Amino acid sequence: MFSVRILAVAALTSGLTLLPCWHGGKIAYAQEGYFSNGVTTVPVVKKGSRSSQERTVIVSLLGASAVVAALGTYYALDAKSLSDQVSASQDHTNLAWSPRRDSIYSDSDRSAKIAQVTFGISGALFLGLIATYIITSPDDLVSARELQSKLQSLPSISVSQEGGMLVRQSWAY
Amino acid sequence: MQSRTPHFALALALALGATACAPDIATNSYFCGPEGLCPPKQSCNFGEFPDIAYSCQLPESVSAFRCAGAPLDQEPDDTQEQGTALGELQCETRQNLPSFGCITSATDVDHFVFNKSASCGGDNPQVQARIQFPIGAAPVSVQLLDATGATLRTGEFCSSQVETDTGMESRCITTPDLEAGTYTLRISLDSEANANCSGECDFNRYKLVLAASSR
Repeated sequence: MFSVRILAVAALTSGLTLLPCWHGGKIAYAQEGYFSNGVTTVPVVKKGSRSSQERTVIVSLLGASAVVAALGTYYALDAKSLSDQVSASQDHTNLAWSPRRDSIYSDSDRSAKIAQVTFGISGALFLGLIATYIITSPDDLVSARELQSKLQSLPSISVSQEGGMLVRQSWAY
Repeated sequence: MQSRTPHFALALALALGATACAPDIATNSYFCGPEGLCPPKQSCNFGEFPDIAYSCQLPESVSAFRCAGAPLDQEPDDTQEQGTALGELQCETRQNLPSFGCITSATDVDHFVFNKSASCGGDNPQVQARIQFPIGAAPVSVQLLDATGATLRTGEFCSSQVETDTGMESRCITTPDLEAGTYTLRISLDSEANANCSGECDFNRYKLVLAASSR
């Protein structure tokens, strides 16, 4: 049981040591048996990437959603500004309803409707973006790489004062 | 934090969408505009009740136009002979109390009769008649007639003295001092104004102020 623990720590440490080997999303994970002389390969996990078409769709959806949301914001602010000019929450403003106020009301109502529609479209595009992002999420690609050499001929072993032991080994591939 | 940004943006967009609402206008906030104009979903209350006349209210709350009767409307006064007697025209405005009247239809006419005997003196003695009425219903006109019924003057819009945004409009007659005699003010709807809600508001109330001054 104790030897298994040491092996696990060794494997973990090996993996951490190999982290600097990250190149373009490639990670080498440690596994049992690295200390045996017969090991000649190391598994490399490469993060998969979306196709250019998928990226184009995602960026397009994001851009379209943002542009439509910006348009909606413009109309929402316009509606708010116009609405404030004629809104009256209290009795007796001592003002008469005039054709000019009627026109402001109509403009405000029109802008509010446009804002609601554009926000709806923007929300739909955004939901489409989330769905596309999830659907096109790439899988990891695992491949075996040949070990070129061992950086250290022998594993380094350190013993902590609290007890336990750390075995360290490095590879290049 | 990075993954929360899209959610925040979406929430912001939805919040902005919610604020993009149409104007909120409480009932009784506005007086009726020209030809009974009111905000959408509100109607002009031409009646005296349940609230202020010529204010914009919910359609189910408004009442129809009705003349109140004496002393706010002296009938019959459709002819010069039946005109309401105002007595002797005094030289100070405050000595001439305002009179009130009501026109019920396009054919209704009101008459007010007054006497003018002595000049007020001064450099520029004048007589002024002014009627004030809500803009929500048909405009009212005023004419100054002599004893024979001939028209001496017709009232004009007093733009410099009236803030029409309050829902009221005035027509004035200003004339140099009148010779001693009996005169009549004839008040009716302004048929030339063509602002009677397509016949739906062929009525109105008014206030008349008659004054003589030395300048």
